[in-house]
Amino acid sequence: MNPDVWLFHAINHFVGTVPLIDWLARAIVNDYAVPTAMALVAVALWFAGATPEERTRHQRAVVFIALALLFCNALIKDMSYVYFRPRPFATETVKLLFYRPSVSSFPSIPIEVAFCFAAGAWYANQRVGKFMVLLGALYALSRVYAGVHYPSDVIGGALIGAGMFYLVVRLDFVFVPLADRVIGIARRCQFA
Amino acid sequence: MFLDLLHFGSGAQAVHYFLFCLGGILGTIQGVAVHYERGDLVWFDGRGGYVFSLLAVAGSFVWFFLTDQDIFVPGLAGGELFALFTAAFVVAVPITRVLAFGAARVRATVAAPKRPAREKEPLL
Repeated sequence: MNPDVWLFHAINHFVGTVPLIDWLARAIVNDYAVPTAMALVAVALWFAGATPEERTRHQRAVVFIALALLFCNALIKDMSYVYFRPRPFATETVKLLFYRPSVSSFPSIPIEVAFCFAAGAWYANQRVGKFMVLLGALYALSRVYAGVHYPSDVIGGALIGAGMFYLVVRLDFVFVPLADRVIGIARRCQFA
Repeated sequence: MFLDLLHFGSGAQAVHYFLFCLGGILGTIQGVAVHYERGDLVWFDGRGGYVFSLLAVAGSFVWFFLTDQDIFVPGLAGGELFALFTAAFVVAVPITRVLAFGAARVRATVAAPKRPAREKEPLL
């Protein structure tokens, strides 16, 4: 058996054994809880910082997250035209805890978003970044547990999200002036 | 142009999500404002600020997940969530600044030393 499918079944077959874990998975797996919590961390970073330099670094991280998310979504939209992977519930016997999404299983878009936020938080503050990576990993695990993704889908999503953020940071000669312009406008409008 | 790409369905869930984000953002800003002593953002000093922050963020999550029945059916997608979160941020920051300004005025009034009573003018 394909190791990806084997690992999927190894995780998903626990559904229904411990009601508390099912409840926790449903609380995490939905489209609202983790992405919103991560966006709130980005809001906190936007205003946080003891010195002007620290605040600028945090605010650049938030702008970089927004840019990386934009590029990730463009990339995934293009990928969806050339590659479509059916969801596990379409091809396997699955214990499903969630609704049946219709978009391609690979890569996982929610996990790509989560790891884009996590990479941004890591860039701004390693302690916050570790918390966000843990939250992202829990989110990824819950997506597999709930039967909506294979493990390779969430790993692919995490790599694309974090990788795109890294690319934006590496291209700092392009994106730092852009970020500083956005931050300058936000500060003039009292939004930062 | 971009708004045509967004589909908010019946609108009820969009309103719920907007309010959820608004409460969460107001609470988050207060937590950061108290921690970094941002006088231009803070409403309550010290422990009161942290308590308000925690209640606002946790209360928003609890309220949203207890009241919204459509969490486990296909609903708002990424673009709509991003638009609503951004709209909530744009509303939350001016609210924070206006209330922080008011709170600072109240604190200044309360903390101002009382003027000594003027002595009576002597009768001529």
